[in-house]
Amino acid sequence: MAKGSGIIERSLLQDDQIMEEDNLVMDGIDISGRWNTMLKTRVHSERDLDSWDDVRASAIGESIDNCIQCGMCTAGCTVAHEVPGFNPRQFIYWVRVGRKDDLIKNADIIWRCVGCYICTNHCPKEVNTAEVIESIGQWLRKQVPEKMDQAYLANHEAYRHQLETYGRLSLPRLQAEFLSKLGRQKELFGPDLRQAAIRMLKDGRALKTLLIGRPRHWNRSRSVLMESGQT
Amino acid sequence: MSNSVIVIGGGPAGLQAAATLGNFGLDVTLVEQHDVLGGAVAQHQYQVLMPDFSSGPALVARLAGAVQNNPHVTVVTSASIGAVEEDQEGFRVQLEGSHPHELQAQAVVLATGFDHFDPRRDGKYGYGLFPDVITGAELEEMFAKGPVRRPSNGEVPQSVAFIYCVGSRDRQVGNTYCSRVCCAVSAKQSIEIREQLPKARISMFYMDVRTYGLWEDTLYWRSQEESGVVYVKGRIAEVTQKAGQPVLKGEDTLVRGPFEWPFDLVVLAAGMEPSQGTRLLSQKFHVDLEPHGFVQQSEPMRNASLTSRPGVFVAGSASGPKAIEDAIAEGDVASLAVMQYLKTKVVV
Repeated sequence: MAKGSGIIERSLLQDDQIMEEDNLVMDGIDISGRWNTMLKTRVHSERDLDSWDDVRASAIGESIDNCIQCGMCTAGCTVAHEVPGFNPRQFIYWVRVGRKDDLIKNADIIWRCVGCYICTNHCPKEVNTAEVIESIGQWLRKQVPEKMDQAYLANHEAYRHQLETYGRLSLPRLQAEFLSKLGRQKELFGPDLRQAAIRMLKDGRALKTLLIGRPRHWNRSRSVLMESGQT
Repeated sequence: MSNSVIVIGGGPAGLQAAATLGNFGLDVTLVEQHDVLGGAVAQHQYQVLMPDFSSGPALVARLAGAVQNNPHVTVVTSASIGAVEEDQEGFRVQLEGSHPHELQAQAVVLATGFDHFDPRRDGKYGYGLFPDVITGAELEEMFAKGPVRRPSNGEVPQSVAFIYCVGSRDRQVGNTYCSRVCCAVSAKQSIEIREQLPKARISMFYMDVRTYGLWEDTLYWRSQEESGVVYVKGRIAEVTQKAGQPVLKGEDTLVRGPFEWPFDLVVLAAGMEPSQGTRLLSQKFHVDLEPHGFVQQSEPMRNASLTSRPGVFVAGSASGPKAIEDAIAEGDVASLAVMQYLKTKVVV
């Protein structure tokens, strides 16, 4: 039996509103299927304000308290006009009113931000919106890493690892690490990349890039960076 | 009896009008129905005033002192206005109270103020039913008495909600106007609560935030940026009680979702209505009311205190919701109009 088929006006309900266990025995009584059908309430009743506290406490998130929900950030947003569900104003509001469930539902979408900073530059209240969104994203990454898109996580980790190890970002190395993390090493040897590699080897750019070395005193800078990145 | 004026109402507007008229040598009688001067500021013991966080008791002391120490001003408290007649000489007003007598004057200033909307008239807020639902005026009284506590059990509130537009902007209760100051007063109160309770969750439930003019950043923004107060857009449809806590039911219009959130303390930003005195005296002095029941300003583009009747002037919130500073300014505006009126009368 399909979920909710015991409801006479089933067509008026959406699938995710219906809770129903196929096999359920309670106190020795079989209430499987339609006998345990319940509807999820839409009412939000528990505010979880931990995210707010964490974002305000972070160096990049403290301006969240300035927000008056005018919508200027989303109005000018590069991504919002293309990606459904990406709405900086909305993310900030969910944090401030404690709607953790909505945040988690959209935990991955928040990383569609391209970092153009139009939101920050437009904000009439001087919210550093781009970085507040980053702060919310970092909070979500810690809360629900499993909700993050694999490509996003691989990219994120490759960036961190490359920066930590070499003190610079080298596109070939970054690309290699990113693709191998996803098990897509093959793409490194596709016709386009192969041709580019050969050209760069011939004119010496490849060698130069790989041998450029670390910035001066990188170990010291790294320890500071990594310490601050622990938050 | 030349140059004699009756000022009715001993709030900020009336006190200012009486003092200014007295300073210019006019013969003033100030009539106040209560036994203390200062109007709502004194009634509810406002300690810290919107918008500048100045002292309420200091304001009352200064304004009351200015009339009490003025040889041209006679102050009559605990008195009310009986019959009113007008003849060629001016107004004859019967004063009722412990010492009934007749006053004669050539001009009258109505500074009869406002009453707070009584939230019992709008049952959805549970006011009068749940002890932890209080009005903004009661919060001021709480500030005057000591630290903020839950009326139900005396405990420190962990969460506080303010509900905006109670009795304002609502056809259901018959008040279609905005009371102008409640948004800013609530923001001021939230800042004061934050000073006492660093950890409390403070939420404001609003339809619009109307901290107009210079109060936008000094009160609204400040409450958010410095005091960490959160504004939730949506009016509250019902207050219930669960496990000893008021529960606010509403729609968060920015996420389009219903909520039911519990709070330890709920403050109703109750609006302003024409006071009983304003209603009564407008009839006795035959001045027109505007459609919301306040005294009609007949020519606000000329002078804010002119009414439909020559010789009768209005000052303060008798003519509409007003901040204290505006009421005081109108006390002076009315004084100017009275002096111009009397001068014309004498010359003619």
